[in-house]
Amino acid sequence: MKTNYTVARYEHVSKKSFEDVIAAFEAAVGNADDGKFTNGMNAVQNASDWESLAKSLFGPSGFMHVLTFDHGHWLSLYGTPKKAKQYTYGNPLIAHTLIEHDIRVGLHVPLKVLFFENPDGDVVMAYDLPSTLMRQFQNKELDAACAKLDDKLIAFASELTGAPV
Amino acid sequence: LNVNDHLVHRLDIGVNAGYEALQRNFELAVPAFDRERHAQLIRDGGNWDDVVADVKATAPHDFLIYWKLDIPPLLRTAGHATRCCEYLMGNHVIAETMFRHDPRVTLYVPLRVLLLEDPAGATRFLMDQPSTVVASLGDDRITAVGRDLDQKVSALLTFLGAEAPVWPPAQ
Repeated sequence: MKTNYTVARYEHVSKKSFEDVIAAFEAAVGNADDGKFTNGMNAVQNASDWESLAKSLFGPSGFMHVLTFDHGHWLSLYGTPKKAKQYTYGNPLIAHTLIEHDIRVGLHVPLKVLFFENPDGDVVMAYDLPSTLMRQFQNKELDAACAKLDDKLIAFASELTGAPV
Repeated sequence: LNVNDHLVHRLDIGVNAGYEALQRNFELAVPAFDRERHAQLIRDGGNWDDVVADVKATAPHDFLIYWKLDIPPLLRTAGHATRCCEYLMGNHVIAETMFRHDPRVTLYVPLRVLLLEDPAGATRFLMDQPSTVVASLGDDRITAVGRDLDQKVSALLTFLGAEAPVWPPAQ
């Protein structure tokens, strides 16, 4: 079965340096890479444990990242020096408010965000707007939950980049 | 702020195998990326040709798993029992052939794959068709690589015992 849907990619263009934007993101988003979250998840037995685990890994923004690709670093092996870093990140408690409506939400959470330096030297923060990823599932409760996540994400990206909507 | 609206095709393919068999076969066909081995290769002075050779030797279907999330533990405490697992699947050598044209492709690769068992007990393989995702970048060179990825996904689905979609040959 094949379903067509339309996704909106948002790109905030910042005049800040790449290093400053990355530092601000990493200060705001907890580091749950290297299985800190996924391994811990296998051990939880109840909702209270689960929420405690998630909250222990959040940064001040209420998000944690679970996987980081420093694409600029590994691509330097190929003689292609670029500044680009992608994070897989999210908030498992918010994810629960989405995935409880449709298990297929798991195809799109945790979210991805990409920071890169464009040829003009500006820093771009790019992400697909969550509500546009989930509309395909045609669930009004899910859409309502996604609208809240959109607002949180747009506010976060606007603050990080200094480039509001 | 730049906003780009793009059309994506989601594939939702039934697989003629039980969930455990599907997951086992998938993880055999798409091995986990060995970060430590990759790091050792670089520490030993390996160059990009060595990276390419290593991927070729370890990815029989040209894909590796970079990350995996078993969903049930996430939802067990909410009373859900659906078996479901999310993967980030890709190939960093192929990714480079797109990244060299536009770094934004790394918002979309590695590709997301979801294996699940639906309420009727049927197993399904879900992902967004690669070419339709990377086509959003508007670069024909990247879209061509995406079409090649479509073919690789079809071959993987055939290996898994699914009725794979048929797409025109990649140019």
